[in-house]
Amino acid sequence: MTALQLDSVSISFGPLHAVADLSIQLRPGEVYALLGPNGAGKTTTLNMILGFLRPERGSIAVAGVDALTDPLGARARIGYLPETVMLHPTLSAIENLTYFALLAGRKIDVTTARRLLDEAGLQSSAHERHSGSFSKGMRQKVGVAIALAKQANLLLLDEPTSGLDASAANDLSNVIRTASSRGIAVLMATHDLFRVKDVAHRLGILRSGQLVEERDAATLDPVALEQLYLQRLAS
Amino acid sequence: MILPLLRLEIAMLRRDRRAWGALLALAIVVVLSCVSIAVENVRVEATKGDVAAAERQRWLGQGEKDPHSAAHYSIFAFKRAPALSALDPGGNPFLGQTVYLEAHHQNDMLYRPQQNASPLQRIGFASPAALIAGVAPLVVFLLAFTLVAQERERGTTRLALGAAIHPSMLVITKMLAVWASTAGLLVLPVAVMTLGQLTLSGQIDGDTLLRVFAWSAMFAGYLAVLAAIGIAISLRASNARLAMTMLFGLWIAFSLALPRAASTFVDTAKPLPSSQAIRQQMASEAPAFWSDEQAQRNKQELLARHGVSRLEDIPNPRMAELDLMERHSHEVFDRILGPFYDQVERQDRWFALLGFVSPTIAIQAGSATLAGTDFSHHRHFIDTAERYRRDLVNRMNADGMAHRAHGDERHTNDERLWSQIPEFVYAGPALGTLSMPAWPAFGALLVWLGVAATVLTITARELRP
Repeated sequence: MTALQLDSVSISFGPLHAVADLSIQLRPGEVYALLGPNGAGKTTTLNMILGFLRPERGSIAVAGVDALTDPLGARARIGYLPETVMLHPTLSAIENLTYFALLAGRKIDVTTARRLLDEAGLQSSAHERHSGSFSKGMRQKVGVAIALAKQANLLLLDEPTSGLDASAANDLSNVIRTASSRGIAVLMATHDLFRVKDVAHRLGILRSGQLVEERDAATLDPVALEQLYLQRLAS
Repeated sequence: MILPLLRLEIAMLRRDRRAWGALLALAIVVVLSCVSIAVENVRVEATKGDVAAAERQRWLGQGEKDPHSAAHYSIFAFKRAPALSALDPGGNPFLGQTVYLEAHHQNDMLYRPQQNASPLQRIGFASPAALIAGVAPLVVFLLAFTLVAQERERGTTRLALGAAIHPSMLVITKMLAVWASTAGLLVLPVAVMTLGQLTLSGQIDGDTLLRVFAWSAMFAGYLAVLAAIGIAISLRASNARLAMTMLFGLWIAFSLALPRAASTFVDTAKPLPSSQAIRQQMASEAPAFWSDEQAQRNKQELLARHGVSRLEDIPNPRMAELDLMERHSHEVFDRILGPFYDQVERQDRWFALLGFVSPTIAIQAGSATLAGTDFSHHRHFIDTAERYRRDLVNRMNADGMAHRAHGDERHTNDERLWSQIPEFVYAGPALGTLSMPAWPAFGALLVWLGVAATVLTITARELRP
């Protein structure tokens, strides 16, 4: 069963074709990077997969669940990490994780919460601190732990490394690799070519809502990837 | 699953110092107001009990005299504070606590607690009911704003919706968190304190239990309406600033503007004659009895009633005439005061009907009824005291009429007769046994609950990150 299946998905905002005829398929454990400039349709694609936006045409299935007819069922199989993870500032990392896991229908105890936060790379001393004092990287790690707590089939990451320092971004790469090794498919919308090369198995380049290139990441070295990206945006 | 979520939502509220601080401050004032009224009630009721006992002794010990003079000597009757008056004193502070029962007069009630009220009580913000009805909406809206509008502005809602929870569940949990916090801190403590106080003072019975339960349920329902409205507006407003403005405006409308407008409307649409005018009418109609023309008619009636042709043939013509006068005054009082009280109750019914315009009006109208402090309960006391007065006067007059006394002769009696008059003991009516002018308020609150639930459901359905 595919982890994610997008078939000819399209959506417009007035005269603007935000996403046009987009088809992507992800196998379990596969990491797919969706590249593209601002306004290319990356976040819109993620919003359609999450059911926040309804495509005008096409179909979306998450781990076999039709996201258009059963958006909640599909969402239950998705771990979602927005560009900026905004937690409840007055709750601790453990409480935030417990809260969002409960929202996803999973009750976790403190031991499990600590293990998940450790796996996400959040230092133990921060587990019980109120998240209001967290850096973006720390919030991102709690967001990863939330996604892991859901035991999702698919991880959606929206610009996951934006604003992170090198160390935090490296931690995130490790988390993505770990998730992938556990059979969780990852779709990440990003500008970060270095990170793509680092963790992605496949990549797709979106321009004006259309998928203009799709490659195996292993076939490209970093320089070739950058050149391909720039060419595709320019053409 | 909902309970652990609720616990965390309440933890978020608790840790927001501004909103939770406002709630705690209000809760403290509500509890203090309840304690303050209860303590004052205990003091005043003890005084009333002492004075009533002294009155009884004064009545029994008035010595030998003409029974009609005894009817004039008479007693003070005291209205016990309703069991729930610490929750909502209603009109009690303005309505008087005692009435002097004497022949020929249905007197106004005396001693209005408002005369001795603290400045806070004088401006009408000193009871749990007034505070919860008037100030709680602001606090509830602040909590709803904290839990929803701020979260949306921050972006937390996006992560929450991405977690696969049904939006309705998310919204209902937040609404329950606001409701549980406010009902738990504002209504529950005063309800428990009142039950404790009633138990300690031996006033607890089925009726008081029912009243406390109904009062608490009504206020809990009111807070649920406010929580649902607060959450819905916070969700629908395009940004947090607009949400705050709308909620603040709604508080002003619900709690300040509309109740005053409703009161003015009712006063204008259903005006009452002044109590001065009523007293004047009673004073002018009762002496008409003494006109020469009326005196002739009375004489004929007395002769016919006793089946004689001369007043001298009536055993005690003076007492018979006084009895006739007394019965005439009853008819005058009933004819004037009955419709006047009906008008007051009609005003109350109209005010309660306007509860469909604002839930605060509905709660204001309904609360006093459940607490037993509205006008219909006060009227029950007036009617009970008046029945007692009439029985007393009629019994005195009957004793006089049963004994011959002509010219300057006077029949007298003593404690043997006075003790046949039972002590005045007032028990308030059980809930539901009176006509309740405020009943539309309960319907209005139910409608508000329905509307709030519908708005919340629709809002939840349309919730987008």
